[in-house]
Amino acid sequence: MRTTDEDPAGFETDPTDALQNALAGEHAAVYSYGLVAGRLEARSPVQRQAAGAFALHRKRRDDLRAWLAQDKQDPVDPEPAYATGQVATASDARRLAQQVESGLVRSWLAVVGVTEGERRAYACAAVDESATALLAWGGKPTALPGID
Amino acid sequence: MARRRATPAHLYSDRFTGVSLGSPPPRPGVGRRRLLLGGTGLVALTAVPGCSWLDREPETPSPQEHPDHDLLSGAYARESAVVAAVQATAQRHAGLAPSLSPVAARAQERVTALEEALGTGGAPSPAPEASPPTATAAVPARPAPALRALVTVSQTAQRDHAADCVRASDPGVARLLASVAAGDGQDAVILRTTRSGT
Repeated sequence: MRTTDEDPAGFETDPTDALQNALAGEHAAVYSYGLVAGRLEARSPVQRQAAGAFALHRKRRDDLRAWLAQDKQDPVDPEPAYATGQVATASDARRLAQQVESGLVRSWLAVVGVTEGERRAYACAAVDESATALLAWGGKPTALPGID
Repeated sequence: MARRRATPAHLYSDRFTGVSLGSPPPRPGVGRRRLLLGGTGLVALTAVPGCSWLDREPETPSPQEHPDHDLLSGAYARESAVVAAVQATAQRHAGLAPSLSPVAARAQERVTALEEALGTGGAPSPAPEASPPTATAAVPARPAPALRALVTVSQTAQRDHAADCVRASDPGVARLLASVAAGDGQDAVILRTTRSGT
């Protein structure tokens, strides 16, 4: 089993690994939201919400790929499929979306720790965006998203 | 170069749990004192990639010398003001108190985390529990505008904490500020959807 570089707080501290982890999370988000948008009733509120999230996470995925390319790294591939559980109802969609966004808050928080300047500003905005999205999908607020 | 795979601990292999798979369970606070490097102190900490001053030994040289001290002090004061504003609004509008109580509690948790990060250097006044007279006087007379004012307070705090996050030199401080910012961002949404009852 490969050991990861983590500080005592449990955040990935290797800059490339942190970016790759966030990218892995965004791949899963693109897959998950695409699934939701495709399965749920067209133009229903949840389907629209998922379609919007799909576009947002696709952009984040592309931006991370660009960063990694700039760093002369090979971006991780998406998995061929993800074990999302059943995706048939709006309730399923919310559960899945909360899971996705919750994981991304933490992944992007790790990116905050290993970046500077523009990249860190982007990562900080992504943390905020996913923490807010969590609420939009029915999640509860917490005092310190990504930490608590 | 071969196509790189992300580490199993951070991917969804047989179970979809998001990249939190393998993450440690929630921790009570962020200012935990962990022995990292045998007494070599602050300089050695910042020389180790990814190591955070927030995990320093208790004997580390004065926290006031840390480059992020002023940043953390500012964040502490800012978030204390958020707590004060929420409490003042709850005092002025008793009907809002049940909705605002959890908001105040979350903001207070953020204040505590910032206070812990500041460490023995201590936090500047005012104490978060003391509602300055001016905060009470500034609460709008009617509940709906009062809630809108709190939304603005939270959004402003989120924006300012995020700006400080980018300026932080320590990775742990940067993460803490990003998390604090996101917490205020969430509460801005909560406050926007809180019913004023009028």
